[in-house]
Amino acid sequence: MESQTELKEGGGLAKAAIETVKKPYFAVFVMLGVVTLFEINVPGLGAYGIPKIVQITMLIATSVAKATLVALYYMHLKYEPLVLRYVPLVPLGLVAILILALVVRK
Amino acid sequence: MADEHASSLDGHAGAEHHGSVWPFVIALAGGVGFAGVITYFPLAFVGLGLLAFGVGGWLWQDARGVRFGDVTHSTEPGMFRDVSIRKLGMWLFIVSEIFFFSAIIGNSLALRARAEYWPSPGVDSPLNIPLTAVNTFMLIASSFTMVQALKGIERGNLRNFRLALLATLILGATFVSIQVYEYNKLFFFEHLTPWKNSVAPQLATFGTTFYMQTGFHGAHVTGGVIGLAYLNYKAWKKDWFTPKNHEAVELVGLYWHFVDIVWIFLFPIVYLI
Repeated sequence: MESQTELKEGGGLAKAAIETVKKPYFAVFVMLGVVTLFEINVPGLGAYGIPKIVQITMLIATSVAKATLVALYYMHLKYEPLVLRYVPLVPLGLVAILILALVVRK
Repeated sequence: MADEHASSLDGHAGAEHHGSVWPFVIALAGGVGFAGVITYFPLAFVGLGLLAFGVGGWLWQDARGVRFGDVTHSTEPGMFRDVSIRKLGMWLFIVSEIFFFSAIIGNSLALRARAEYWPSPGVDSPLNIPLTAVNTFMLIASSFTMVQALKGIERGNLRNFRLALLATLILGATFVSIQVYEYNKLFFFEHLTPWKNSVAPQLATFGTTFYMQTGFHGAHVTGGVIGLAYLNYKAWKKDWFTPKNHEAVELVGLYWHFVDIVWIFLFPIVYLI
């Protein structure tokens, strides 16, 4: 999609270009719904012998995927200058370390 | 947001630029209030008073239709030169919120990792997964309607803009209402309290972390609903939002989608794991 319009320095699109580019809002909405439907069935997988750790891994993966879709398409990070994409990304790395340290610390 | 509208007014000289003091008063109220919570509790009431004063002052100023004039620099020089200064401000606010929610979620996970007992979803957990799943769909749908509202105003389709914005408000308010219903049921009928109680003492830590995580998120959604109500009100004013002047819609949208993202993580962490 980006190839249809003029790219600004830093990887983003000009504001006018952002507004005219076709964005997959409905497709993202459907994907979010389908993934959520899958998520609410994950706790039931224990009855089929799926270990808890696998269920947790699945839910983390689906959550990260859903959040990425919202951030990229609904919050328009996909169309913003590269430097703005790093604004939320850098603290996310830091908090991931914080949460990991809190959980695994004895 | 009056600022937002005023930025496009013709003939408004940049030299007349005068910002509003009220956002600063509200930020001060937050600082004083939270400092009171962790140090000297009566200060929290001072914070609440300041908050009411700040919000009241801002609304009063807005009701008088005060125009704030042009923003002198729409972007910052340097590496953020291609980013609107207001959008950058909203993103920095979102970054602070990322830290806030990460601390809460991390703390809850740490408590859970050390707890002797933790209820399993669908087995002995008092939480209602189907009801919350419906609420999750409400929030996802509200994110979709929010971007539809933005698309509507970008293309000059006022009818779609207003309808989608109204739908977002209704969906957000429904989410809060369902959460209030859920809290009422859990607190009074399931004996899930934020502290240890004699009926279900084993749920004490679970209750604390549940109310802390969902409560702060619910408060943020409520704040978003108030913002959306304001936006809806302004959307019906003639020429307030136009295809060339609608950044406020985008900024409230950014906040709303962020609240959705927080729930995307909270729902599995609190209800499904």
